[in-house]
Amino acid sequence: MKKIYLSLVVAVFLLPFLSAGQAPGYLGKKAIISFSTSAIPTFNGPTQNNRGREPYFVGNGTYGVNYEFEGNFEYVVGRYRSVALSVSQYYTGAKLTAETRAREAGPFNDFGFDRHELFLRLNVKSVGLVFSRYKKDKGGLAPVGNRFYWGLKRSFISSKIVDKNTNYHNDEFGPLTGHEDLEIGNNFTQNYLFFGWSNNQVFWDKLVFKTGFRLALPLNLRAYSDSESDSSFSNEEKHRINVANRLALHEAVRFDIGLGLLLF
Amino acid sequence: MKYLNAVYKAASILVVTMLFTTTACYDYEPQFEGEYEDAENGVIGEVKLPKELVIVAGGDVYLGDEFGLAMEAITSSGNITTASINDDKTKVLYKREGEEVSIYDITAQSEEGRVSGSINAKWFDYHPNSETIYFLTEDGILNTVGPEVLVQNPIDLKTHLNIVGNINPLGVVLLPQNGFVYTYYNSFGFSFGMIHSSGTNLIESTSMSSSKSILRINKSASVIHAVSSSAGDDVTIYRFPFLGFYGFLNDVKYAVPIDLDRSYSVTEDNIIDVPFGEDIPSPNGAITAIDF
Repeated sequence: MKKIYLSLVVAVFLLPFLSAGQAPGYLGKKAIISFSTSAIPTFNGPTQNNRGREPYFVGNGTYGVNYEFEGNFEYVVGRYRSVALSVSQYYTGAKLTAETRAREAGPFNDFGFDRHELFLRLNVKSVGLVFSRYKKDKGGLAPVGNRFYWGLKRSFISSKIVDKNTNYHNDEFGPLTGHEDLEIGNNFTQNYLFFGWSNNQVFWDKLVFKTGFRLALPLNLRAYSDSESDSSFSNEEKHRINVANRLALHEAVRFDIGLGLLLF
Repeated sequence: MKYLNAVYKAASILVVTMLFTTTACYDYEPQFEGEYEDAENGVIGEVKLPKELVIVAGGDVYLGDEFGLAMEAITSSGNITTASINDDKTKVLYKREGEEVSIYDITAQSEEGRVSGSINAKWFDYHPNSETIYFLTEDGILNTVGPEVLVQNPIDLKTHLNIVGNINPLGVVLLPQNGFVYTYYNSFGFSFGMIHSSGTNLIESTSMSSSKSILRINKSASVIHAVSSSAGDDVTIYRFPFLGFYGFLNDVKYAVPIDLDRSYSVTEDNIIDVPFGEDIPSPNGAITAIDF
Protein backbone atom coordinates (compact mmCIF):
# COMPACT_ATOMS: atom_id res chain seq x y z
CA MET A 1 0.00 0.00 0.00
CA LYS A 2 2.85 2.32 0.89
CA LYS A 3 4.44 1.69 -2.49
CA ILE A 4 1.19 2.67 -4.24
CA TYR A 5 0.99 5.95 -2.34
CA LEU A 6 4.63 6.71 -3.04
CA SER A 7 4.16 6.01 -6.70
CA LEU A 8 1.18 8.38 -6.83
CA VAL A 9 3.17 11.14 -5.15
CA VAL A 10 6.06 10.72 -7.55
CA ALA A 11 3.70 10.69 -10.51
CA VAL A 12 2.04 13.94 -9.38
CA PHE A 13 5.42 15.59 -9.19
CA LEU A 14 6.89 14.18 -12.37
CA LEU A 15 3.97 14.02 -14.84
CA PRO A 16 4.13 17.70 -15.81
CA PHE A 17 7.74 17.18 -16.74
CA LEU A 18 7.43 13.91 -18.51
CA SER A 19 4.68 15.13 -20.85
CA ALA A 20 6.44 15.85 -24.12
CA GLY A 21 5.78 19.00 -26.17
CA GLN A 22 7.78 20.69 -28.94
CA ALA A 23 11.51 20.15 -29.31
CA PRO A 24 13.09 21.42 -26.14
CA GLY A 25 16.34 23.22 -25.46
CA TYR A 26 17.79 26.66 -26.11
CA LEU A 27 19.30 26.59 -29.61
CA GLY A 28 19.33 22.85 -29.24
CA LYS A 29 21.19 22.98 -25.91
CA LYS A 30 19.36 20.87 -23.40
CA ALA A 31 21.82 20.70 -20.56
CA ILE A 32 23.32 23.40 -18.44
CA ILE A 33 25.85 23.07 -15.72
CA SER A 34 26.13 25.93 -13.29
CA PHE A 35 27.82 27.11 -10.18
CA SER A 36 26.20 29.58 -7.83
CA THR A 37 26.62 31.07 -4.42
CA SER A 38 24.23 32.52 -1.93
CA ALA A 39 24.80 34.63 1.13
CA ILE A 40 23.24 33.59 4.43
CA PRO A 41 23.02 36.44 6.92
CA THR A 42 23.18 35.29 10.52
CA PHE A 43 20.69 37.08 12.72
CA ASN A 44 20.45 34.80 15.73
CA GLY A 45 23.85 33.22 16.07
CA PRO A 46 27.45 33.32 14.89
CA THR A 47 29.04 32.40 11.60
CA GLN A 48 31.75 29.76 11.51
CA ASN A 49 34.17 32.61 12.29
CA ASN A 50 32.09 33.81 15.24
CA ARG A 51 30.81 36.88 13.47
CA GLY A 52 27.30 38.21 13.81
CA ARG A 53 25.06 39.93 16.28
CA GLU A 54 25.00 37.00 18.73
CA PRO A 55 28.55 35.69 18.85
CA TYR A 56 30.07 33.06 21.14
CA PHE A 57 31.40 35.18 23.98
CA VAL A 58 33.66 37.76 22.29
CA GLY A 59 32.66 38.11 18.64
CA ASN A 60 34.84 38.57 15.62
CA GLY A 61 32.88 41.29 13.80
CA THR A 62 29.44 42.81 14.02
CA TYR A 63 27.99 41.47 10.79
CA GLY A 64 28.07 37.86 9.84
CA VAL A 65 27.42 36.17 6.54
CA ASN A 66 27.77 32.52 5.64
CA TYR A 67 28.10 31.40 2.05
CA GLU A 68 26.63 28.40 0.34
CA PHE A 69 28.23 27.12 -2.83
CA GLU A 70 26.11 25.07 -5.15
CA GLY A 71 26.76 23.03 -8.25
CA ASN A 72 23.85 22.24 -10.49
CA PHE A 73 23.26 20.06 -13.50
CA GLU A 74 20.01 20.86 -15.24
CA TYR A 75 18.50 18.92 -18.08
CA VAL A 76 15.60 19.99 -20.21
CA VAL A 77 12.74 17.52 -20.36
CA GLY A 78 10.17 19.70 -22.12
CA ARG A 79 9.97 23.00 -23.92
CA TYR A 80 9.43 24.84 -20.64
CA ARG A 81 10.39 22.21 -18.13
CA SER A 82 13.60 20.85 -16.69
CA VAL A 83 14.93 18.65 -13.97
CA ALA A 84 18.13 19.34 -12.11
CA LEU A 85 20.42 17.65 -9.64
CA SER A 86 22.16 19.96 -7.21
CA VAL A 87 24.90 19.58 -4.64
CA SER A 88 25.86 22.30 -2.24
CA GLN A 89 27.84 23.03 0.85
CA TYR A 90 28.18 25.73 3.44
CA TYR A 91 29.60 26.27 6.90
CA THR A 92 28.01 28.07 9.80
CA GLY A 93 28.48 28.42 13.53
CA ALA A 94 26.24 27.58 16.46
CA LYS A 95 26.26 27.95 20.20
CA LEU A 96 25.18 25.18 22.51
CA THR A 97 25.06 24.71 26.28
CA ALA A 98 25.63 21.15 27.44
CA GLU A 99 25.62 19.68 30.94
CA THR A 100 27.25 16.66 32.50
CA ARG A 101 26.89 15.20 35.96
CA ALA A 102 29.73 16.53 38.13
CA ARG A 103 32.34 14.08 39.37
CA GLU A 104 33.18 16.05 42.46
CA ALA A 105 30.74 17.18 45.15
CA GLY A 106 30.19 20.88 45.52
CA PRO A 107 30.98 22.97 48.58
CA PHE A 108 27.77 21.80 50.25
CA ASN A 109 28.52 18.15 49.50
CA ASP A 110 25.97 18.26 46.69
CA PHE A 111 26.49 16.61 43.32
CA GLY A 112 25.39 18.98 40.62
CA PHE A 113 26.26 19.53 36.98
CA ASP A 114 29.25 20.79 35.11
CA ARG A 115 28.17 23.30 32.50
CA HIS A 116 29.81 23.53 29.07
CA GLU A 117 29.40 26.47 26.73
CA LEU A 118 30.20 25.15 23.28
CA PHE A 119 30.95 26.77 19.94
CA LEU A 120 30.14 24.48 17.04
CA ARG A 121 31.27 24.64 13.44
CA LEU A 122 28.60 23.09 11.25
CA ASN A 123 29.43 21.63 7.86
CA VAL A 124 26.26 21.31 5.80
CA LYS A 125 26.43 19.31 2.58
CA SER A 126 23.27 18.86 0.56
CA VAL A 127 21.94 17.09 -2.45
CA GLY A 128 18.71 18.11 -4.09
CA LEU A 129 16.33 17.39 -6.88
CA VAL A 130 14.90 20.45 -8.60
CA PHE A 131 11.90 20.68 -10.91
CA SER A 132 11.62 23.87 -12.94
CA ARG A 133 8.94 25.42 -15.09
CA TYR A 134 10.00 28.29 -17.33
CA LYS A 135 7.71 31.16 -18.17
CA LYS A 136 6.60 31.36 -21.73
CA ASP A 137 6.35 35.13 -21.83
CA LYS A 138 9.37 37.34 -22.50
CA GLY A 139 10.93 34.63 -24.62
CA GLY A 140 11.54 32.11 -21.89
CA LEU A 141 12.61 28.72 -23.09
CA ALA A 142 14.15 26.03 -20.90
CA PRO A 143 16.87 26.32 -19.73
CA VAL A 144 17.01 30.11 -20.07
CA GLY A 145 14.55 32.75 -18.99
CA ASN A 146 12.47 33.21 -15.87
CA ARG A 147 11.45 30.13 -14.08
CA PHE A 148 9.56 28.90 -11.06
CA TYR A 149 11.01 25.85 -9.37
CA TRP A 150 10.52 23.55 -6.45
CA GLY A 151 12.24 20.53 -5.11
CA LEU A 152 13.47 18.36 -2.29
CA LYS A 153 16.82 18.73 -0.57
CA ARG A 154 18.58 16.48 1.86
CA SER A 155 21.29 18.00 4.03
CA PHE A 156 24.04 15.97 5.69
CA ILE A 157 25.20 17.88 8.70
CA SER A 158 28.37 17.32 10.68
CA SER A 159 29.19 19.44 13.68
CA LYS A 160 32.49 19.90 15.39
CA ILE A 161 33.15 21.48 18.77
CA VAL A 162 35.82 24.08 18.04
CA ASP A 163 35.73 25.80 21.42
CA LYS A 164 34.55 24.88 24.90
CA ASN A 165 34.25 26.76 28.15
CA THR A 166 33.54 24.46 31.07
CA ASN A 167 32.31 25.69 34.45
CA TYR A 168 32.77 22.93 36.97
CA HIS A 169 30.36 22.36 39.80
CA ASN A 170 33.38 22.00 42.07
CA ASP A 171 35.74 24.84 41.16
CA GLU A 172 38.70 23.37 43.03
CA PHE A 173 38.80 19.69 42.08
CA GLY A 174 36.61 19.68 39.01
CA PRO A 175 39.33 20.93 36.66
CA LEU A 176 41.68 18.30 38.06
CA THR A 177 39.43 15.29 37.68
CA GLY A 178 37.81 16.45 34.44
CA HIS A 179 34.25 15.92 33.30
CA GLU A 180 32.12 13.18 31.83
CA ASP A 181 31.87 12.79 28.07
CA LEU A 182 29.44 15.20 26.46
CA GLU A 183 28.01 12.45 24.24
CA ILE A 184 27.11 14.81 21.44
CA GLY A 185 26.85 13.06 18.10
CA ASN A 186 28.51 14.56 15.09
CA ASN A 187 26.40 13.64 12.08
CA PHE A 188 22.74 13.73 11.19
CA THR A 189 20.46 14.73 8.30
CA GLN A 190 17.70 17.22 7.60
CA ASN A 191 15.25 17.29 4.70
CA TYR A 192 13.74 20.38 3.13
CA LEU A 193 11.05 21.28 0.65
CA PHE A 194 11.87 24.44 -1.28
CA PHE A 195 10.26 26.81 -3.77
CA GLY A 196 11.94 29.53 -5.72
CA TRP A 197 12.12 31.90 -8.60
CA SER A 198 15.14 32.61 -10.76
CA ASN A 199 16.27 34.19 -13.96
CA ASN A 200 18.75 32.52 -16.30
CA GLN A 201 20.08 34.93 -18.90
CA VAL A 202 22.53 34.21 -21.66
CA PHE A 203 25.06 37.01 -21.69
CA TRP A 204 27.82 35.64 -23.88
CA ASP A 205 27.72 32.72 -26.23
CA LYS A 206 26.99 29.74 -23.97
CA LEU A 207 27.48 31.49 -20.67
CA VAL A 208 24.41 32.01 -18.55
CA PHE A 209 24.05 34.43 -15.69
CA LYS A 210 21.73 33.23 -12.94
CA THR A 211 20.03 35.11 -10.12
CA GLY A 212 17.17 34.15 -7.93
CA PHE A 213 15.72 33.49 -4.52
CA ARG A 214 14.04 30.62 -2.81
CA LEU A 215 12.12 29.67 0.31
CA ALA A 216 12.61 26.39 2.13
CA LEU A 217 10.74 24.52 4.81
CA PRO A 218 12.17 21.71 6.91
CA LEU A 219 10.30 18.45 6.70
CA ASN A 220 11.17 17.71 10.32
CA LEU A 221 8.62 19.73 12.20
CA ARG A 222 10.43 19.05 15.45
CA ALA A 223 12.92 21.63 14.31
CA TYR A 224 10.39 24.24 15.27
CA SER A 225 8.43 22.53 17.99
CA ASP A 226 10.98 21.68 20.68
CA SER A 227 13.11 23.93 22.80
CA GLU A 228 16.66 22.99 23.63
CA SER A 229 16.27 24.57 27.04
CA ASP A 230 14.11 21.63 28.16
CA SER A 231 16.21 20.03 30.89
CA SER A 232 14.80 16.58 30.21
CA PHE A 233 16.66 16.41 26.90
CA SER A 234 20.07 14.78 26.63
CA ASN A 235 22.99 16.76 25.27
CA GLU A 236 22.59 15.03 21.93
CA GLU A 237 18.89 15.92 21.74
CA LYS A 238 19.66 19.51 22.60
CA HIS A 239 22.33 19.52 19.95
CA ARG A 240 19.98 18.26 17.25
CA ILE A 241 17.21 20.66 18.17
CA ASN A 242 19.64 23.58 18.26
CA VAL A 243 21.16 22.73 14.89
CA ALA A 244 17.83 21.92 13.25
CA ASN A 245 16.37 25.25 14.39
CA ARG A 246 19.44 27.13 13.27
CA LEU A 247 19.60 25.58 9.84
CA ALA A 248 15.88 25.99 9.31
CA LEU A 249 16.38 29.75 9.57
CA HIS A 250 19.41 29.56 7.29
CA GLU A 251 17.38 27.76 4.66
CA ALA A 252 14.23 29.82 5.05
CA VAL A 253 15.05 32.59 2.56
CA ARG A 254 17.95 32.58 0.18
CA PHE A 255 19.17 34.84 -2.63
CA ASP A 256 21.64 33.35 -5.01
CA ILE A 257 23.80 34.34 -7.93
CA GLY A 258 25.81 32.24 -10.31
CA LEU A 259 27.13 31.32 -13.70
CA GLY A 260 26.15 28.50 -15.99
CA LEU A 261 27.44 26.90 -19.15
CA LEU A 262 25.15 25.55 -21.80
CA LEU A 263 26.22 22.10 -22.84
CA PHE A 264 24.96 19.63 -25.35
CA MET B 1 16.29 48.49 -19.05
CA LYS B 2 18.78 45.87 -20.00
CA TYR B 3 21.56 48.21 -18.94
CA LEU B 4 19.95 48.54 -15.53
CA ASN B 5 19.78 44.76 -15.34
CA ALA B 6 23.45 44.57 -16.20
CA VAL B 7 24.35 47.16 -13.57
CA TYR B 8 22.29 45.38 -10.94
CA LYS B 9 23.88 42.10 -11.71
CA ALA B 10 27.38 43.51 -11.77
CA ALA B 11 26.75 45.18 -8.43
CA SER B 12 25.50 41.89 -7.01
CA ILE B 13 28.65 40.15 -8.11
CA LEU B 14 30.77 42.89 -6.65
CA VAL B 15 29.01 42.86 -3.28
CA VAL B 16 29.10 39.10 -2.98
CA THR B 17 32.77 39.05 -3.92
CA MET B 18 33.62 41.71 -1.32
CA LEU B 19 31.74 39.96 1.43
CA PHE B 20 33.17 36.62 0.43
CA THR B 21 36.78 37.75 0.48
CA THR B 22 36.43 39.36 3.89
CA THR B 23 34.36 36.80 5.74
CA ALA B 24 34.37 33.42 4.02
CA CYS B 25 37.71 32.00 5.08
CA TYR B 26 37.79 30.10 8.35
CA ASP B 27 39.83 32.10 10.83
CA TYR B 28 38.33 31.44 14.26
CA GLU B 29 40.86 31.59 17.10
CA PRO B 30 39.71 29.66 20.20
CA GLN B 31 38.94 31.80 23.22
CA PHE B 32 38.94 28.99 25.79
CA GLU B 33 39.85 25.32 25.56
CA GLY B 34 39.76 24.95 21.79
CA GLU B 35 38.66 21.87 19.91
CA TYR B 36 37.08 19.04 21.83
CA GLU B 37 36.10 15.44 21.10
CA ASP B 38 34.83 12.84 23.53
CA ALA B 39 37.25 10.35 22.03
CA GLU B 40 40.14 12.47 23.23
CA ASN B 41 38.56 13.31 26.57
CA GLY B 42 40.93 11.57 28.96
CA VAL B 43 39.85 10.95 32.49
CA ILE B 44 41.48 14.25 33.25
CA GLY B 45 39.84 17.07 31.23
CA GLU B 46 42.29 19.51 29.72
CA VAL B 47 44.56 19.61 32.78
CA LYS B 48 47.64 17.47 32.34
CA LEU B 49 48.93 16.65 35.81
CA PRO B 50 52.55 15.53 36.24
CA LYS B 51 53.29 11.83 36.37
CA GLU B 52 54.01 10.92 39.98
CA LEU B 53 52.62 7.46 40.68
CA VAL B 54 54.31 4.36 39.31
CA ILE B 55 52.96 0.81 39.39
CA VAL B 56 54.00 -2.47 37.83
CA ALA B 57 51.07 -4.42 36.40
CA GLY B 58 51.12 -7.43 34.14
CA GLY B 59 54.90 -7.22 33.96
CA ASP B 60 55.03 -3.66 32.67
CA VAL B 61 55.56 -0.28 34.27
CA TYR B 62 52.75 2.32 34.29
CA LEU B 63 52.96 6.00 35.14
CA GLY B 64 49.97 8.01 36.34
CA ASP B 65 49.20 11.27 38.10
CA GLU B 66 48.61 11.79 41.81
CA PHE B 67 44.97 10.75 41.38
CA GLY B 68 46.03 7.49 39.83
CA LEU B 69 44.54 8.61 36.54
CA ALA B 70 45.87 8.88 32.98
CA MET B 71 47.92 5.72 33.44
CA GLU B 72 50.34 5.15 30.56
CA ALA B 73 52.62 2.18 30.02
CA ILE B 74 56.28 3.07 29.63
CA THR B 75 57.47 -0.48 28.95
CA SER B 76 56.16 -3.34 26.88
CA SER B 77 58.49 -6.23 27.67
CA GLY B 78 56.21 -7.88 30.20
CA ASN B 79 58.98 -9.21 32.47
CA ILE B 80 59.25 -6.53 35.14
CA THR B 81 58.15 -6.99 38.76
CA THR B 82 59.49 -3.92 40.60
CA ALA B 83 59.79 -0.21 39.91
CA SER B 84 60.68 2.89 41.94
CA ILE B 85 60.36 6.64 41.34
CA ASN B 86 62.53 9.42 42.78
CA ASP B 87 61.20 12.17 45.03
CA ASP B 88 61.56 14.78 42.26
CA LYS B 89 59.34 12.62 40.01
CA THR B 90 61.83 12.88 37.17
CA LYS B 91 63.23 9.35 36.97
CA VAL B 92 61.89 5.81 37.27
CA LEU B 93 63.88 2.65 37.94
CA TYR B 94 62.83 -0.81 36.84
CA LYS B 95 64.58 -4.08 36.14
CA ARG B 96 63.88 -6.65 33.50
CA GLU B 97 64.70 -10.20 34.46
CA GLY B 98 68.34 -10.99 33.76
CA GLU B 99 69.28 -7.39 32.99
CA GLU B 100 70.67 -4.42 34.88
CA VAL B 101 68.36 -1.84 36.41
CA SER B 102 67.05 0.58 33.76
CA ILE B 103 66.70 4.32 34.29
CA TYR B 104 63.69 6.00 32.64
CA ASP B 105 63.60 9.76 32.14
CA ILE B 106 59.99 10.94 32.63
CA THR B 107 60.51 14.25 30.86
CA ALA B 108 62.22 12.71 27.85
CA GLN B 109 59.82 9.73 27.96
CA SER B 110 62.63 7.32 27.23
CA GLU B 111 65.24 5.09 28.86
CA GLU B 112 68.46 6.96 29.44
CA GLY B 113 70.71 4.17 30.65
CA ARG B 114 71.40 1.26 32.96
CA VAL B 115 72.79 1.05 36.49
CA SER B 116 76.17 -0.55 36.18
CA GLY B 117 76.69 -3.68 38.28
CA SER B 118 73.03 -4.10 39.17
CA ILE B 119 72.30 -7.31 37.29
CA ASN B 120 71.92 -9.17 40.60
CA ALA B 121 69.91 -6.45 42.33
CA LYS B 122 66.86 -7.64 44.23
CA TRP B 123 65.86 -4.17 45.43
CA PHE B 124 66.57 -0.68 44.13
CA ASP B 125 65.39 2.87 44.63
CA TYR B 126 66.55 6.49 44.70
CA HIS B 127 68.11 8.28 47.66
CA PRO B 128 65.98 11.25 48.85
CA ASN B 129 68.37 13.52 46.91
CA SER B 130 66.68 12.12 43.76
CA GLU B 131 70.07 11.57 42.13
CA THR B 132 71.83 8.72 43.93
CA ILE B 133 70.62 5.24 43.04
CA TYR B 134 71.06 2.40 45.49
CA PHE B 135 70.49 -1.27 45.05
CA LEU B 136 70.72 -4.36 47.24
CA THR B 137 72.07 -7.56 45.74
CA GLU B 138 71.05 -11.12 46.51
CA ASP B 139 74.16 -11.57 48.65
CA GLY B 140 73.34 -8.59 50.87
CA ILE B 141 75.66 -5.99 49.35
CA LEU B 142 74.35 -2.42 49.34
CA ASN B 143 75.66 -0.36 46.40
CA THR B 144 75.15 3.26 45.39
CA VAL B 145 75.61 4.93 42.03
CA GLY B 146 75.76 8.70 41.75
CA PRO B 147 76.65 11.31 44.35
CA GLU B 148 78.13 9.58 47.40
CA VAL B 149 75.82 9.38 50.36
CA LEU B 150 77.32 6.64 52.55
CA VAL B 151 80.57 6.39 54.48
CA GLN B 152 81.42 3.34 52.47
CA ASN B 153 80.34 2.10 49.04
CA PRO B 154 79.57 -0.75 48.69
CA ILE B 155 78.52 -1.98 52.14
CA ASP B 156 78.13 -5.62 53.06
CA LEU B 157 75.06 -5.45 55.25
CA LYS B 158 75.61 -9.00 56.47
CA THR B 159 78.65 -7.90 58.45
CA HIS B 160 78.29 -4.15 58.55
CA LEU B 161 77.21 -3.82 62.15
CA ASN B 162 78.72 -6.99 63.57
CA ILE B 163 75.34 -8.28 64.61
CA VAL B 164 75.48 -11.78 66.05
CA GLY B 165 74.03 -14.42 63.78
CA ASN B 166 73.78 -15.07 60.10
CA ILE B 167 72.19 -11.94 58.72
CA ASN B 168 70.36 -12.09 55.42
CA PRO B 169 69.36 -8.53 54.43
CA LEU B 170 66.00 -8.57 52.73
CA GLY B 171 65.16 -4.93 52.04
CA VAL B 172 66.72 -1.51 52.50
CA VAL B 173 65.82 2.14 52.27
CA LEU B 174 68.22 5.07 52.32
CA LEU B 175 67.57 8.06 54.49
CA PRO B 176 68.00 11.79 53.89
CA GLN B 177 70.66 12.01 56.58
CA ASN B 178 72.78 9.52 54.68
CA GLY B 179 71.92 6.65 56.89
CA PHE B 180 69.83 3.65 56.00
CA VAL B 181 67.30 1.23 57.32
CA TYR B 182 67.22 -2.39 56.39
CA THR B 183 65.31 -5.46 57.37
CA TYR B 184 67.05 -8.73 58.00
CA TYR B 185 66.40 -12.38 58.51
CA ASN B 186 68.54 -14.15 61.07
CA SER B 187 68.88 -17.73 60.08
CA PHE B 188 70.11 -18.88 63.50
CA GLY B 189 67.23 -17.58 65.46
CA PHE B 190 64.66 -17.47 62.70
CA SER B 191 64.04 -13.92 63.83
CA PHE B 192 63.14 -10.94 61.77
CA GLY B 193 64.05 -7.35 62.47
CA MET B 194 64.60 -3.87 61.24
CA ILE B 195 67.77 -1.89 61.84
CA HIS B 196 68.41 1.83 61.56
CA SER B 197 72.03 2.73 61.14
CA SER B 198 74.08 5.75 60.22
CA GLY B 199 77.56 5.24 58.97
CA THR B 200 78.87 2.43 61.14
CA ASN B 201 76.59 3.24 64.04
CA LEU B 202 73.57 1.26 65.02
CA ILE B 203 70.89 3.76 65.96
CA GLU B 204 68.12 1.40 66.89
CA SER B 205 66.50 -1.87 65.99
CA THR B 206 63.13 -3.51 66.34
CA SER B 207 61.85 -7.03 65.93
CA MET B 208 59.27 -8.00 63.33
CA SER B 209 56.76 -10.79 63.11
CA SER B 210 57.57 -11.76 59.57
CA SER B 211 60.16 -11.21 56.92
CA LYS B 212 59.71 -7.93 55.08
CA SER B 213 61.52 -7.47 51.82
CA ILE B 214 60.16 -4.15 50.55
CA LEU B 215 60.62 -0.94 52.49
CA ARG B 216 59.16 2.38 51.39
CA ILE B 217 59.68 5.60 53.31
CA ASN B 218 57.73 8.82 52.80
CA LYS B 219 59.29 12.07 51.67
CA SER B 220 59.52 13.54 55.17
CA ALA B 221 61.06 10.30 56.48
CA SER B 222 58.44 9.90 59.19
CA VAL B 223 56.73 6.69 58.11
CA ILE B 224 58.01 3.37 56.81
CA HIS B 225 55.85 0.79 55.12
CA ALA B 226 57.24 -2.69 55.34
CA VAL B 227 55.89 -5.16 52.84
CA SER B 228 56.19 -8.85 53.37
CA SER B 229 57.63 -11.24 50.87
CA SER B 230 54.92 -13.71 51.91
CA ALA B 231 51.59 -13.60 50.18
CA GLY B 232 48.68 -12.82 52.46
CA ASP B 233 50.69 -10.73 54.93
CA ASP B 234 49.42 -7.24 55.60
CA VAL B 235 51.61 -4.18 55.13
CA THR B 236 53.06 -3.01 58.44
CA ILE B 237 53.36 0.67 59.29
CA TYR B 238 56.25 1.91 61.38
CA ARG B 239 56.87 5.37 62.73
CA PHE B 240 60.30 6.72 62.04
CA PRO B 241 62.90 7.52 63.31
CA PHE B 242 62.06 5.48 66.36
CA LEU B 243 60.93 2.43 64.39
CA GLY B 244 57.80 2.23 66.45
CA PHE B 245 55.07 -0.09 65.27
CA TYR B 246 51.97 1.90 64.27
CA GLY B 247 49.57 -0.44 62.57
CA PHE B 248 48.65 -2.50 59.55
CA LEU B 249 47.15 -1.96 56.16
CA ASN B 250 44.82 -4.91 55.95
CA ASP B 251 44.24 -6.76 52.70
CA VAL B 252 46.95 -4.70 51.07
CA LYS B 253 49.69 -6.27 48.99
CA TYR B 254 51.93 -3.25 48.42
CA ALA B 255 51.94 0.28 49.74
CA VAL B 256 53.91 3.53 49.80
CA PRO B 257 53.32 6.04 52.61
CA ILE B 258 52.43 9.71 52.35
CA ASP B 259 52.03 10.13 56.11
CA LEU B 260 50.92 7.97 59.02
CA ASP B 261 47.30 7.83 57.88
CA ARG B 262 47.57 8.18 54.13
CA SER B 263 49.19 6.06 51.52
CA TYR B 264 48.92 4.71 48.04
CA SER B 265 48.34 0.98 48.15
CA VAL B 266 47.35 -2.04 46.13
CA THR B 267 44.64 -4.34 47.47
CA GLU B 268 44.36 -8.07 47.07
CA ASP B 269 41.91 -7.39 44.22
CA ASN B 270 44.55 -5.35 42.40
CA ILE B 271 42.70 -2.11 43.04
CA ILE B 272 44.88 0.97 43.44
CA ASP B 273 43.73 2.74 46.58
CA VAL B 274 44.26 6.44 45.96
CA PRO B 275 44.12 8.80 48.96
CA PHE B 276 42.55 11.57 46.84
CA GLY B 277 39.70 10.62 44.59
CA GLU B 278 38.39 7.29 43.41
CA ASP B 279 40.06 3.90 43.59
CA ILE B 280 41.48 2.73 40.30
CA PRO B 281 41.43 -0.81 38.89
CA SER B 282 44.65 -2.26 37.58
CA PRO B 283 45.34 -1.28 33.98
CA ASN B 284 46.71 -4.73 33.25
CA GLY B 285 46.16 -7.62 35.62
CA ALA B 286 48.13 -8.36 38.78
CA ILE B 287 50.00 -5.44 40.31
CA THR B 288 53.39 -6.26 41.78
CA ALA B 289 54.76 -2.86 42.80
CA ILE B 290 53.73 0.68 43.63
CA ASP B 291 55.73 3.80 44.41
CA PHE B 292 55.00 7.49 44.71
